[in-house]
Amino acid sequence: MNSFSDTLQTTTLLVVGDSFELVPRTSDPTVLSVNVTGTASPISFMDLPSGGGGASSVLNRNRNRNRNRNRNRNRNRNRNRNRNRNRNLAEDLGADFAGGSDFDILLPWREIGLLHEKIDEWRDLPLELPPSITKLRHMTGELLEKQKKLQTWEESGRRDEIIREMQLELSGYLRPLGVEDPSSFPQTSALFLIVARLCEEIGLRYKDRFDVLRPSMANPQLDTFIANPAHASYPSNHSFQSHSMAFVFSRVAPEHPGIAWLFLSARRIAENREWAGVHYPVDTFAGRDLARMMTPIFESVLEEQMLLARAEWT
Amino acid sequence: MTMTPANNGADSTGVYAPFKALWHLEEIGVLENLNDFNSSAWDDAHTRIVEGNAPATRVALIDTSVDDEHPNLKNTIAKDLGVDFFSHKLGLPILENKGDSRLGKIVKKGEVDWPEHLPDDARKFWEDMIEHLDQHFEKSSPEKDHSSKVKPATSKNFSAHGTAMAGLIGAQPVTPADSNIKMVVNPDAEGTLGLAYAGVDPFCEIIPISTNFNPEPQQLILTMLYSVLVEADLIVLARDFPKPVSLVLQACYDSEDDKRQKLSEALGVGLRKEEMEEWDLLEELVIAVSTKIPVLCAAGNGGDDLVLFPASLARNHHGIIAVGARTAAGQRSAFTPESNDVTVYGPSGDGERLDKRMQRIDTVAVGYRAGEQSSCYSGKLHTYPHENPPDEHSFAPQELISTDVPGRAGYNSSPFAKAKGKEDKYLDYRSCFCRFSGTSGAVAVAAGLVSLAISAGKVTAGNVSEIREKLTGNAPAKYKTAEPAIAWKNFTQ
Repeated sequence: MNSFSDTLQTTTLLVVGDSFELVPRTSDPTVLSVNVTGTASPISFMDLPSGGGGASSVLNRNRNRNRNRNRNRNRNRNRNRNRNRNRNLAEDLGADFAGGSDFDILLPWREIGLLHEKIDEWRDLPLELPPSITKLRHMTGELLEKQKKLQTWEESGRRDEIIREMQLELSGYLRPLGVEDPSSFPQTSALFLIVARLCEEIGLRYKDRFDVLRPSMANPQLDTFIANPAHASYPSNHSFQSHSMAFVFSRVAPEHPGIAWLFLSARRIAENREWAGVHYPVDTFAGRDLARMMTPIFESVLEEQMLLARAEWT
Repeated sequence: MTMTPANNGADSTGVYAPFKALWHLEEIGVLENLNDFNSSAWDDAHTRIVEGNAPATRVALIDTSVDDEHPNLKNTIAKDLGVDFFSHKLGLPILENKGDSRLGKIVKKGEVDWPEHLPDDARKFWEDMIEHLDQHFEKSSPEKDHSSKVKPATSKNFSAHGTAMAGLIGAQPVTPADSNIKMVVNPDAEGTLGLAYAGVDPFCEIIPISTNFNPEPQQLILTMLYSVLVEADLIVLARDFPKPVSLVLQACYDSEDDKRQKLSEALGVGLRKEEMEEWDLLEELVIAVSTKIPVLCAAGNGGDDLVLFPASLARNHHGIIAVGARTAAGQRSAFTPESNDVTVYGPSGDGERLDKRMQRIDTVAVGYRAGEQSSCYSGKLHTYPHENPPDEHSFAPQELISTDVPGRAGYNSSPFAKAKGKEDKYLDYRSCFCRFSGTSGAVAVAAGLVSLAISAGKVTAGNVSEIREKLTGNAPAKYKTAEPAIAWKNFTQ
């Protein structure tokens, strides 16, 4: 006789309503096999003894998934309201939700603090060194082609995107998840804003270290579609931010069927900066790699917000 | 004590009959019944593995990370063979470097032969991965120290899916003595309760191989190669491999360049030639790997005629097996693909559907209003169990039960942040378990069954065609009746 059957004989795990009960064998209630005819084999249903089973039913009253979820929502509605009265993060980041939403949150001081407590874990991640200036100049060939193509009728939509994405355009991340209005998924939207905020300063450190020239400076033949931002090229912060949101969300709710499309949208937002002539493809890759390596740090620093966001999806 | 017959409550009451968490083990015939929990399958595995010292069956679980400290999983998860491909492109062992660990020994330079049955183009990935992993086990060097700044992305609180998958495959029950349940709220229950949950094959060892969900082929190529490297006996895949061509409906391409162009337009990104080649290599690789290691794949939860990639590759001449879902009422689950490309069906939960092809609604749910349904079908609707025999219209509210990340994370959140409080007392053991469904659940149960068949010596590891024949009972696929259904008896005949 195997030991596992022995153990299972001591206690039964029952599924009761929305929760579970462990019932000791001594008070094991009668098993009622609902022996319906047809193709299905019978499944053992149980009737709990009156007055409650072996385990506590006190906790059980507390254990309604929906109630927990609502409790979180309420708490956070208050949090958002408080935030609105104060300084606005979305406004500071120049964030836009495309639907004219005024969704905003308070500066994530707690998360910024936690990030800086872990600075030794992230300030020197093994990001590949950028290519030499010669190699970078060669890469502008691909950008010149994109620049020419960007002027065609087919790419008119991309031109609009590039202009919109000069701001932090959050609908690019929410739409693949089926979210139009950020206030319907406030914790997920808040999470994306916080990730964007943290990425901004992390990215600036790495840019400053490598101090790579923008493509149009390496090859003046390239006429950028939008003005070069006032910081170095490598790695692309658009790529870093957008891929970070995707990587972090894929820890929050990997079951979401829109995950692949969230990553594709993040990639398009990053690639649009190449079409605009302000980034080399290698900047895009480096931003994605940095986002990937930062995820373990984000899932610790942002744990609270990620759990709140997850509660919106499970 | 008053006993009343178990039944569902009346329509719209939200009152469901309680049921035993391990119903699916009885359904597939691993447990003979749910009263004494006897299992000749487990007895055979016990004789072969515990008494006979045969090696534990190795199940490679390519999924999210897993909570390897869960009380029902801590002896099942092979932490020293676990790897994470989420944060580092060449993988990170989930345990800190120990050269004498099993993985440390496996990757030791020069001792791993290239498996000749795999496509040559994968060899570079294989060598890079081994060199990188080997470096991880070396003593300090500037390169190693810099590279090891990256940590695996395996936080337990974001490991719900993998934890539920692992539980269905191989959780071990915890005895009352070991679980030492001392309830804060109900001290009467002290010491009398075990954590009475078991996976299909509690004798196996599960190797967690975690990935991120970026549609990028390299990490998926590496997961396959890694499974071969650690000599997995089977591979479980609940996720899809989002190959560009599998994400769009368009099917006609004039050439490889034309294909890349059209797919780039459809997906909105600039697909590169190299990555298209890597996606093709991945497809070739999964098939090649499956000739020696069965690859069990979830068929998908769309309820349409599309089977996820790589489950869609399932054919008779290799070991890719597409697993669909059937309900406790013995019907196809509402979400399982309507396709005869699905090889086999495992037990799982159900869903609601109301369309021309299927009318199936949970009549016990609080939101159900009989008056809002058309009389054309409303008379046929019922929720299992019911006095009528189950049929296409039977909604089955019995989902699979599995292990969950304890505390407020996971699928079944607790009002407490952790399962245990002071002095190791359980605040809430309930959050150790969750409901789980989808073809993810079905593939986990099917994988557990294959693993158990290997553990019990009913099939030979590596004999893919034998495993496939026994799993399907050599029966043709019929999606309408969700057949063939997996069953232990097919392995004993």
